This record gives sequence, C-alpha cells and structure tokens, in this order.
Amino acid sequence: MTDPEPLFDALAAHLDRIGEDRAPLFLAKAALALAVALNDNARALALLEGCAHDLERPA
Amino acid sequence: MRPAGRGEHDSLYFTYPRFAAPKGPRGAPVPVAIVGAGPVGMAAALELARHGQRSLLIDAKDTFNDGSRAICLSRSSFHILDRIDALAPFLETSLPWTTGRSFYRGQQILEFAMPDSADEKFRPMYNLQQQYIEQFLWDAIERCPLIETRWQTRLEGVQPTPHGATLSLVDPDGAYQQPADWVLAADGARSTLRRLLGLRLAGEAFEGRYVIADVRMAHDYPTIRRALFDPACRPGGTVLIHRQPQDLWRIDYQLAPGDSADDATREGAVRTSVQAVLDEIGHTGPWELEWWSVYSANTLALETYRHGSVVFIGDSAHIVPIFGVRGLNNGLADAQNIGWKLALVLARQAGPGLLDSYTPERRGATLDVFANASKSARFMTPPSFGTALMRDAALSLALRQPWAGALANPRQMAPHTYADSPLTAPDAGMESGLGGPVPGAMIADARLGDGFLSDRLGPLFTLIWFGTPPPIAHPLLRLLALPPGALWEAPEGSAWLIRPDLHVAGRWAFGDAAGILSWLDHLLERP
Ligand SMILES: Cc1cc2nc3c(=O)[nH]c(=O)nc-3n(C[C@H](O)[C@H](O)[C@H](O)COP(=O)(O)OP(=O)(O)OC[C@H]3O[C@@H](n4cnc5c(N)ncnc54)[C@H](O)[C@@H]3O)c2cc1C
Repeated sequence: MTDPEPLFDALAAHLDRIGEDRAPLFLAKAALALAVALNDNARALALLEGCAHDLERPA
Repeated sequence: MRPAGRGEHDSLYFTYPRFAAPKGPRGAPVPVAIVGAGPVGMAAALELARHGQRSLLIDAKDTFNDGSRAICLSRSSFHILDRIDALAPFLETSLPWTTGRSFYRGQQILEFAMPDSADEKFRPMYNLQQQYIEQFLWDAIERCPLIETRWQTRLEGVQPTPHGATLSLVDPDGAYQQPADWVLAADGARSTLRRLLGLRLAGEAFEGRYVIADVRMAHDYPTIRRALFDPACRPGGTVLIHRQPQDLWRIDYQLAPGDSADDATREGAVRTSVQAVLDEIGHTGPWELEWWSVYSANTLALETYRHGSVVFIGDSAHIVPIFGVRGLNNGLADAQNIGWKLALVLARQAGPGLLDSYTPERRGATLDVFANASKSARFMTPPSFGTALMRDAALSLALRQPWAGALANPRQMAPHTYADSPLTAPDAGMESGLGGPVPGAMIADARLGDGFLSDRLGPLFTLIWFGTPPPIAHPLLRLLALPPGALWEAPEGSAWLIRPDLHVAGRWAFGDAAGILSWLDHLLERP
C-alpha cells in the first residue's frame, strides 16, 4: 500500500487554502477525478460507499 | 408574446396568412378526421394522402401557430418530409448543423459533432422556425386533392359510435355533427379530445423553466448550438443559443427556482436578460426583439395513445423537455407511423390489429426521450443539492480534462428502435453474425450509385435482397436487388425487410422468400 501521509497533508493544505465555502466543490472534483483515474468502477463505487459511513458523531 | 404595440401575429419577417371559414357542405361522413392543423396534424394528412387515403383536417384558428416555437428538425424528420413530398422548401430555407459547443463560466469545455457522413442524404439537424415548417407543410397540403381543410372550426364534443366517432364541430356559421371512422387527435398540449375522453397525461415535471426569445441581429457565428453553463449573465443557470434563417437567433435562458414567470416574461425583463446574454457572447451591434415565450421541462405522456377509434399524435400524447429537441420530431414520427398503418387498414390491405403496434412503438419512443431527458436535465436543471454539486464538479473539471466535458454532452438522440414491437421479426441474423441495421431500427442511409438508398425504397414495404433474388411478388412490396456486400457487408442471399417508415421489420442471413412473405402477411393481418 502506498504511504497515505503525503496525500493526507496535501489534501489538508489544499482545503486550508481553498476555504470552507469552496471545499465541497473541490472535494467533489477530487473524488470524481480520482475515481475515474482508478479505472475500475466497481472498486471506486465500493470505496465511495465505504466513505458514506461513520459521518455522524456516535450518540 | 411580442413587444408592446405588436399583435400576436405581427412578425418582423413572416406574414401570417388568414384562412377563410369553410363554405361548402359539411357533415358528410369521412374516413379520417384530423383534429388540429399544427405540424403534426398536417404531416398525418400528407402521409395518409401519400397512400391514397382521404382525410378531413380541422383547426380552430384561422392561421398558423404564433411564434417560432420548435426550431430543430432532425435527420429522421427530413426523411419523413422527403417521403410526403414536402421536402424542397425545407432544404432551401433551413440551416443544417452538426456541431455543438458547451461553455462553462465563459470557457469552452466541449465541442461535439453529431454523426454524419457522405452516406447520409440529410444532415443530423436543421434549424427552421416553426411557422415556416407549418407554411411548407401547408403548401404541400394545398397541392393535395385528397385533403379537405376546414379552418375556424372548433371541436367541442365527441361521441363514440359503433364504427368510429361523431364530432361536434362549431364554425362561424354554427354547430354541426361530423361522423368519422377514425379520429386523429393532433390538437396539441392542451388537447380538447384528451379532456373530452377523460384522459390524463402522467409523468414528472422537472424544476426548470426557460424563457425562449427570438431576436433579429446581424451576428457572425456559424450554425453551431451553444450551451452556456453558469455564465456571468445568468450565474447558476444555463443559456442555449441557436441560429435560425433570416438573421434570427433563438436565445433560451433558464429562470432561477424562485423567479416568477410573470415577472420574467415582461418585455423589459426579457430585453435586459437578452442584452446580458448578448454582452456575454460579444455581440455589440443592434438587435430587435421578435417573440418570446416561457417553457418548462416536463416529461408527460398518455398511458395509451389509442382509445378505440381515436388516436393521439404529437403534443396531445406527450410533452417532452425542449432541450432534447424531440417534441416536434417525435410528433412527426407519430404522424408517419399511424399514417401508413391507418392507410393500409382503410384500403383493406391490413387488419385493424396492425394499429395495436402504434402505442408500443411510439410510446416507447417517448419513454426513450424521457430517459434521455432526465440525463440532460441533470445538467441543465440539476434537481438536487448532490446533482448540482457534481454537475459543477464535472464542469469545473472539464476546463482541463476532456472526459468530464463529455458528461455535458446533450446526446441528441437517434430514432428509437422498435425492438419490442409486435411488428418486429425475431432476429434471424444475430447468430449468423449478420451486420447492418437490426430489426426495429431505422436504417441509416447509404450512397447507392448517383443517389441514396432511401430514394430506392418503395412507398410501402421494400425487400432488400443481396444477390440474385427469387421470383417474389406481393402487392405491398418493392424488391430491391443489390450485389452482395453493396451495403452492411451483407452476404449472398441475405435479406432485409424495410417498413414504410424506414424501420427494419426483419432481417435474414439466408432469406427464404415464402417465409418472408408469410411473415409480412402475418404482421399485416392480411386475410
Ligand atoms: C409557446 C410554445 C413554445 C414552444 N417552444 C418550443 C421549442 O423551443 N422547441 C421545441 O422543440 N418545441 C417547442 N414547442 C413545442 C412545439 O411547438 C410542439 O411540439 C409542436 O407544435 C407540436 O405540434 P402539434 O401539431 O402536436 O401541436 P400544436 O402545434 O400545438 O397544434 C395543435 C393544433 O390543434 C388546434 N386545436 C387545439 N384544440 C382544438 C380544438 N378543440 N378544435 C380544433 N382545433 C384545435 C390548435 O389550434 C393547433 O393548431 C413550443 C410550444 C409552445 C406552445
């Protein structure tokens, strides 16, 4: 597996620079571009599905 | 609507005719009454006449529809116009086009070309104002002795009878009863016949209304459809720009969800909005406002297009969103479809069961448009937060990545394939690896000698036989023998049966003449 550290840092830096208002657009672009680059729709869809979990703080 | 001081039919460039009220005797039974002399009703009358059948065409108005309305005619519609012998003025006047360009925030993200080649007699699309479409169809009707037209004649009632229906008609001289064996309801989106029969359109209404405005101006840009997403002149909205003949330009712009249609269609508001679009596309010269209207993106259709002896065609049967440019084109295909079938039934060349294929074929075509329209609507008028965000993401990506621009491709549609129609033969070509058009599909045209395949087809059915044909004779069939491989890499002995509307009824890798003729008789329910 690749080292996630630089990806984490780069995303954080982009988001800081872009700001909260534009963050959804940036993240939507990033997700779509990365999913297409994966060139494996089944895998991309499964990863997206996984990311849709655990977005709430547990009660 | 038109600018203050000008009447409904005061066009800058088109003189609306005034048709007199009917004078002759009326009320004698007719084989077919067509209610509505819009483009679809007129095309149906011409298709019936082409096959030798009389019809009575009535319309409440005394002239054509006001305003330029539908302006995009597709290649398949030009084939229909060709076959009903109305084509010449359409070719002379309209503007052919193949290309569309999409822009996001002022930058071009996509250029698409619709399929075209020297094998095609017609271009993928032609722009022409609807009043010319109606005028040219009317010119063909005036040449045709089989069609009687009564303008200023309104349908107010309908009574089914054992052999058809009796229409209650009103003209300036009074009311009378008009019996007909068959009734074609071509009375438009607000169909009176639909209401009288207690029928309702069902489907979805998309959020998204457009103002459509025509302006006259000397503007130098080729006949290329422009789509502007999120332009500076309408942040968050979509604008479409089409060139029409006579220096007319169609500008469609989207209203924001909260905008009131009443406010947006006031002349001052239209002028301001149009000026903003023109500023955006760099038009600095003068312009005149011709006509405008407001239009919404609904997908609505009847469950069944035929109710006994009453058959719905065109907008009375279906309402589709404007950006698929299928409203009028589909209506013309309805007219042709019911036209040839009804003509064969009236001539006793086919049983009435032939008409049962009308709803599945033409409603199927409408459902195709709906599916496609929902895809376009996602881009034109995103229906939810998520769709809107992903649309913006795709458009923003498209500035640098062409694959994302393809998501914004409006997919101008090909004609519907009647795969599930009772008239489509089971495919006897698939397993033998036959190429060429599949059963149910409309054939693509092809160059043949000095002309085109479409010119060589008979008025009704055509059997294209590759190689030396067997002796074959049928009153409704023309035989077209071609050398093997002349089209579709067709092998010796293969055969395609083509319908009057250029759709494939069947194909056979090893044609068996007797079998094909008995299939034809079976589908026509010939005795
Ligand atoms: C304002 C407007 C703008 C449009 N803009 C576009 C566009 O930009 N692009 C596009 O693709 N399409 C557009 N359309 C749709 C397009 O005009 C239709 O798809 C097309 O006209 C359908 O033709 P039709 O013959 O089925 O119906 P219509 O053209 O509506 O014709 C129906 C006819 O029936 C007659 N009639 C109705 N009731 C009766 C009665 N009781 N008795 C006798 N006669 C009757 C009417 O007078 C009319 O002539 C627009 C429509 C309208 C109304």
